Amino acid sequence: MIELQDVSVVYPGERTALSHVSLRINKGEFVFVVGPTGSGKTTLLKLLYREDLHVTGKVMVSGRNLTTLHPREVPFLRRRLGIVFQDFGLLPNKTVFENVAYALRVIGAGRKEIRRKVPPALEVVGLVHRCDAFPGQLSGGEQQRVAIARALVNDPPLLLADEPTGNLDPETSLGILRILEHVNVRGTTVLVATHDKYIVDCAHKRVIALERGRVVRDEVEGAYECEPVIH
Amino acid sequence: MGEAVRDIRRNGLMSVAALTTSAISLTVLGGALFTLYRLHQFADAQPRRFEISVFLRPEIPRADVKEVRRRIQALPFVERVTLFTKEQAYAELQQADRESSTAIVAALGGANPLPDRLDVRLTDASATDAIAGVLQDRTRFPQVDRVRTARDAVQVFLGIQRLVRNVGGGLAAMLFIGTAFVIQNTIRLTVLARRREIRIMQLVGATPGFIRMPLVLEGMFYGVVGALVAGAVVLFVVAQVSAYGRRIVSPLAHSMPPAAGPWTVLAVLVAIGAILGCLGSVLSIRRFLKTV
Repeated sequence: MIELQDVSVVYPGERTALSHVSLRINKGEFVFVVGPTGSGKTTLLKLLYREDLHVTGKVMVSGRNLTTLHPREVPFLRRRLGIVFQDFGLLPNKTVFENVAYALRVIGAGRKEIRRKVPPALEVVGLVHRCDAFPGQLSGGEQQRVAIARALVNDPPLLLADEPTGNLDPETSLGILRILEHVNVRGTTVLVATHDKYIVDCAHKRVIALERGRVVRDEVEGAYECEPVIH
Repeated sequence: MGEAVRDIRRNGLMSVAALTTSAISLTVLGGALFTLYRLHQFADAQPRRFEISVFLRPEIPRADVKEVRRRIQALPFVERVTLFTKEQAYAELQQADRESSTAIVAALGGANPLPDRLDVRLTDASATDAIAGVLQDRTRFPQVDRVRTARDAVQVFLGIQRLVRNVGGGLAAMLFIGTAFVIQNTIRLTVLARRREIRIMQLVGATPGFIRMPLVLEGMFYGVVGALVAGAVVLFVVAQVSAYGRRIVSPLAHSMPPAAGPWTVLAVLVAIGAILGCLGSVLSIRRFLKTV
């Protein structure tokens, strides 16, 4: 699904965000990318949704090399991705339904398709009953669930989440984790960048740890820190 | 399209600000353009009012006079030639006698020594000297006795005409550029207010064209509606001013060629507004679409 070969990213001003990263993520995996602030987690995700970066090396997603992708093809790449952010990224003057439908509308979906696809996506995150609410009327956890529903509504094979629980309390975070796990079970590859020790330790999933732009650890059933946490 | 309409409604205050700004700047531009255009028309019309007077030798029979008139009419730059007969001149003299209680006609003792006169109006006043030269040429027009032109006055007015054309053109260009900047800046603010929305659209895979379309329509809307308001204001002010002007300086007003119709003024302003609005949003968005 995802393969990075000797990838380095340098931001303007010569700051190295990633240096010589090579890794492979298979279809259907659930992977945490962990590390302190500035370790390159967000940059790693940006690579995968093709933000404009100065990249060397090879970034393969679903068999396509993103570093040589024409800018005109970027929108079409992103339609096959779900992206979730720490700040939810919802439009405050649109209802929950409209926010989720937005991802379909902007790629030219018809009204029929929207009515068919939005309710199942809201069902996955358990918010069908709030579909007429505005984001301001929802709790943080609910807003993040709406964002996840929006990311899922196109049935993307890959879901990218950048600090999805960064603004949430532990209990709510766990709820978000359960939803992501559920999405993963349905067949979507999930990649979560986080420094939320709690959810990583709860999940027992693959953990890739970054430090100053390098992969320092890659464990199949890892924890947030090196030493396995004893329950 | 629906997207654009909804955006304008939701962004109430911002839209009002954008509309006001574009309306005001287009009013200034429209008013200035109209004034400059009228000034140019006026300056253009003045030199042409000076006709060349061609006095024919008194003994020339009327048939020959008509022949000369026909030949002058065939010359280049000649707009029209009017015959002012010796009888008309005589009648005018009698009239003058009555008005200023002189007795010139009586002194003439019934004879009419006045010549026939041809008044030549040119299409281009700068050709006055050349045409006058031709008319004075005895070999070509032996019937002509004397040619009179308002040479100095024509030169002065030609100078004014040039000045108005150059300075006015420069002013119009500067104002146009200024208006373009103001409108572009305003629209950039409305685009800036949508930054978050644009970002989300990009992330869920909207194509640049799809993102641009409603914003461009919105920019055009501000330009066109602003232009309609500006057009109404300009036309109203023009109507008021010319009504006032007709009372105060009627002789000048009479010599003005008819103004452009209200629809022309509106159409020109709307076209300018639409172009500036459209360009403004395309330029503003371009910067955005590049940053991601």
